Amino acid sequence: MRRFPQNSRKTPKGFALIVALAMMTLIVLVVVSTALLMKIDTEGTLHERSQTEARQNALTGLNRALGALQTYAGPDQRTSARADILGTGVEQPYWSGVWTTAPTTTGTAFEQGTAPVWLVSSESTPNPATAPVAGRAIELVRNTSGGSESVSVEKIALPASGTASPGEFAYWVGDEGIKVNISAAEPETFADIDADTITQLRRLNGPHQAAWESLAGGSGRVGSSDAAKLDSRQALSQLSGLSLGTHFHDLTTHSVALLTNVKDGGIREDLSRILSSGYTGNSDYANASPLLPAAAAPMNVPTWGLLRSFHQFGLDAATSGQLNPTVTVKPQSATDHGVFPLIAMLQMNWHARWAPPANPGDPPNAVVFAAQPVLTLVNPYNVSLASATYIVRIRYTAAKLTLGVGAVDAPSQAVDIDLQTSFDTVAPQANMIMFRTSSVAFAPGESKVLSLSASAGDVHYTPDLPSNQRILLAPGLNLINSMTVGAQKPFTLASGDVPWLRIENGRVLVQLYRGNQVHYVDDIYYATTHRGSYNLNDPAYIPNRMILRSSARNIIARGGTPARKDHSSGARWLALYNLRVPTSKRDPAGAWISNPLFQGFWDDTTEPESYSVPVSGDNTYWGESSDSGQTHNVLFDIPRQPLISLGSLQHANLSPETWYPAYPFGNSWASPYFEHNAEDFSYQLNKAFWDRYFFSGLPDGLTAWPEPKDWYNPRLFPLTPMPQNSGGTSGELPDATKLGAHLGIRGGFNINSTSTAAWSALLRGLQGREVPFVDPVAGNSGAAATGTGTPILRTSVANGPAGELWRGFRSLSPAQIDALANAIVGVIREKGPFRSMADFVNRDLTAAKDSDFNLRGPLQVAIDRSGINRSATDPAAPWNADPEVPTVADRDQENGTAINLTYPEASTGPRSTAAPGFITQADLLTILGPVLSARSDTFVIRAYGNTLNRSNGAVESEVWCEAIAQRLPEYVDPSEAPHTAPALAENVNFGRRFRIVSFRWLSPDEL
Amino acid sequence: MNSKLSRILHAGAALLLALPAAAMAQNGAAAQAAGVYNFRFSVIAMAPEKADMGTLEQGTDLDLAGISYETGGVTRPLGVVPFHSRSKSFLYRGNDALSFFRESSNAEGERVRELLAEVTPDRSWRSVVILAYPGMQGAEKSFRAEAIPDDPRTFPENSVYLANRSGSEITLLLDGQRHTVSAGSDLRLPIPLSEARMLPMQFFAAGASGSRPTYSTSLPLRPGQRLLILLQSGTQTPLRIPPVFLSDRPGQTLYDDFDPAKAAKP
Repeated sequence: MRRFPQNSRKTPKGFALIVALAMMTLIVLVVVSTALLMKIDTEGTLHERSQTEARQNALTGLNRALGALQTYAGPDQRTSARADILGTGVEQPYWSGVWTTAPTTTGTAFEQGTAPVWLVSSESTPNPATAPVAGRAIELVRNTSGGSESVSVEKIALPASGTASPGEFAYWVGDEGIKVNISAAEPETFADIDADTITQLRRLNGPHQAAWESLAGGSGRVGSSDAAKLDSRQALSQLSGLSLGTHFHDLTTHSVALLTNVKDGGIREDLSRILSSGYTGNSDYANASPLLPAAAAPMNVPTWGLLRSFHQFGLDAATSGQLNPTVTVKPQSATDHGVFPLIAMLQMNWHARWAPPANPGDPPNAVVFAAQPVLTLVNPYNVSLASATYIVRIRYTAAKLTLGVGAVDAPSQAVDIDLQTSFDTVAPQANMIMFRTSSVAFAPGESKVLSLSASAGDVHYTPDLPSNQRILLAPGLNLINSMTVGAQKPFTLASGDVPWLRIENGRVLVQLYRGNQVHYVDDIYYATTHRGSYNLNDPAYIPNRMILRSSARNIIARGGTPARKDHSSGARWLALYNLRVPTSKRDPAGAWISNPLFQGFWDDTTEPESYSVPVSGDNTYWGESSDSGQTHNVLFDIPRQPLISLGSLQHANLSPETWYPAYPFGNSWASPYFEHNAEDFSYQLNKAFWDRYFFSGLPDGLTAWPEPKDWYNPRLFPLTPMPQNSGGTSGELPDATKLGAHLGIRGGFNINSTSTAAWSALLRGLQGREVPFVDPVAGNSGAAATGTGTPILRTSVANGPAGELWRGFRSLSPAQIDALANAIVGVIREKGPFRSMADFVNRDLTAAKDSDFNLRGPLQVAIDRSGINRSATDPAAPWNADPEVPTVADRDQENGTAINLTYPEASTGPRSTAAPGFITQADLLTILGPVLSARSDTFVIRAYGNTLNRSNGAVESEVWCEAIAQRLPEYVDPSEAPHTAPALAENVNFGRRFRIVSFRWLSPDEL
Repeated sequence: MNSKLSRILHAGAALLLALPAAAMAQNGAAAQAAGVYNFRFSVIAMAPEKADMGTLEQGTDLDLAGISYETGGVTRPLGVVPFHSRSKSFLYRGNDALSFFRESSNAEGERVRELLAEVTPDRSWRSVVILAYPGMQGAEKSFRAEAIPDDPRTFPENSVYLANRSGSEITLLLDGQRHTVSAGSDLRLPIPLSEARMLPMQFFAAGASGSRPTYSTSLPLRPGQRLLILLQSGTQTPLRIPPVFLSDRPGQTLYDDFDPAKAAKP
């Protein structure tokens, strides 16, 4: 066997080479790797350092932003708005500006109130109208697909310092208060439609949960429990099908408003506690104390007692929580709010007729004067009025009824009756006609016609009888029987004689008593009327009718006709006049014919359509028309629950004079009786209340902090942990002046918001909510569904379904809400920023005479411009299509007589203004009141920082962060109590403390 | 003797009275046969719709002033009884339609006669009431006229005569009874009137919502009275509000003008 040669042993030399090469390679690899690793490590360290410096720079920006926020927005007398308040064409519409609400006459433009401070980083004075300097801009909010949310600001350079690299920072402060808060949810119990009545009513007394879902791509309403979990915008995506989309600047989860008095500074006072029945905290709020400073009002000023007693209806067991309580009639006094029916019409069908001859068959030789009284009373409230009897007193002054033959000034034969002296002789009803009524009850809004009792037949008036023996007026229309007055008077007619009947001019007053006087219509003038060819056999009378204008004319009539010089015909009776005033008086000039709500006249036709009264059973028509339409009109609310909105005070009967408005609070229509630049009654009320007070809704007598779930207004919540006693029970509840310093409004909404989407979502807060109603006409009750509509109620309880405008409620379509939101934002851009709630509610006294903003409040301007009171699709609601009340010039031309109104242009406008279906700014403020704020207290800060290469200036690192800054009640120097006016310079200058309540770094794709 | 003479005298007197009457009757029949209309009429100016009224006390008398009618080729003015808003009673004899005019002066000062309305008579008419709607003052061409004949057979005492000229179906709830009257139709209803009472009535125009009447009232009626209700279209609504109501009065019927001599008698 051949063995292989042994030369294979010679190979070790080559092997060594290979090994050597391998070793060399390995060494090289190790060296290279080590070098590489060392390089990577170095670079990583450098990058981390750069990042750290960038973060520090971003935090510098954040701190600068916080400092600016504290400096400019810390004091109470500040408001804020987005830059697009300047117009839609600004380059940076989402910058936030701060305006002072207490301008000075000297100092900077900001201090003088002529310019805002923009809360963005800038090397110079920032101007949102122009783009940031090219090359210096940094985008802090980026557009989403299809959106236009981008925000850019100018970077500020930070020079290199020591080992620190050069860098830049930037910041932008976004206003969260102008966005709608999607986490503000109504209590879960509200969704239970079978819950108690008060819960259902409570659900409608504010936009407890805004309807923002459609902005987030959803449909329908998100449940309250889901909404309450939305603690960040990102959380929105956890709900099926919803996302923030393009609405970064419209939606928030953070906003909380403080109860700040933006007009005068300080914390708002709790009106719920001030108006509690046992309140003794401040003598200025005593029952007899005037509601307004005496010097501010030209005439009688209502008292705190009047307002307190109105507020108490909502707490009274007899009314609280009930859909249709029956309320005992009571007169109104100086300190006690009354509830009483109103005199709507008195018609006295005066006539003369043959007296029955002594012997049947004899020719007539005497006449007797007689009358048929017809009285209409109306209940303007949304409660039933308990059954009650009344005393009616009528007094004629200088009035005489004459039956004659021949020339009027020299009759051949005449008999007369003095209507002033032919009745009672004993004070206090001397010279009066006095009736009693049978027991009369009223359903909500119901009218009742009363006339002589048919069962009593013809009656004769006997003066000075005890009240319980007086002639009875009973429900129903009786024009068959009559009441004779005085003795028979000899009177004969020769062949060819034609008698005439003449009424001399005079005045008539009517008083309604229930114990005390409840309604009193002052002397109403009527003119002389002469009727020739009077038929003594004819029971067609010359009716003496005194008519409440609201019922006398069809206020939605088309084709309008000139009004009368006495301003009574075609007056905007609900906008400008108070038909509930207990004593109706003349106008400030004292003219007899100027009472705007009543008119007296003798009618001059004999056809039954003239002297009869349109009736339906015991009801007659009023409000919309005296001929047809509505027998039940609900004009005023009696509260059924604790008030939580100042707007609800629109129903308090505060106007002390006829020529003050029916709804003085929350509305601001200029008065024709005041100069265009003078404060009228509404103006004074709004100025005094809207910034100084709020309603906590807490019940009377509460001494300890309630549990969070027990806050009647679900938007209110304690900002700090409730103080507790040593035993763990709730601590003492602060008094009315201090309570507001402990509370926040969840989702408080800045009135200067220019986000149409946010306004729309807020206005639609009640979308789809069921409306409890009691319908006194249909005789049913229930909960009216509203579908996609948003119910807008004048009163807290409806008395009919949607579309029944005089007693039901309006239901606005999504398109109408959008139109309203657009109009509101338009007004804000035109007139804003509003420097206080009063500024937002009141008309502008400095605006030109006869201009929109001088004639009405800004919100009313928006409502009128939106067209929601002029619905082409709802013929039942063409309120704005009314003929407008003519101008004074028209009336002068028509009548040839001046009426001496101080501001005549203020008398014009649609006659239906403020009718129940005519949405007013007070209606909106009633709903939005618990949420609105004149400023923002929550802001988002986005900050940016970078580091730059020392040699080439290239960006080496950049970071973004976002923080939420919340303004708190405590001052920057907390040694001063938050409810007191600041005295320390730090607190005067910097106000209340901003605190960062959330912070996070943002990745670029989160911008 | 006396009684015989008396009978003769009575017969002669009756003959004297009867002959002219017979002659008149023959002439009348001949006239009617020849197409001559012969009836009494009065014009009642109804107030315009209240929706269009400036003030309730605005009278309608002026609306009849200046209006004339033509009979036998002669133009005669309508006299107005003050405060009754109606004309005096006139006799119409003619072959043509009863025409109403308003005369005025043009820019040249010439008298211009404008035809306002024509009423085509019926040979059965003996007495009619012309319901005139002059409209608002100044609305020259708004005059309309509706003739309602007085026929005791179809419109007796103690009854209601409803003429629906509204152009749409109207439902009337009268005295608790529901009646539907189509457009252009008339409704005659006896009304129990043993004593004076209020007569409740409600009108529902076609399309009226729910149970809410378009117009509702209650009118006093006395035994022996007649009540005429005329329904017309409103300018904005299917039913003019208020409807026209005319009722008899003591000493004065629906179709007569006011006679003070009658009024002197109780």
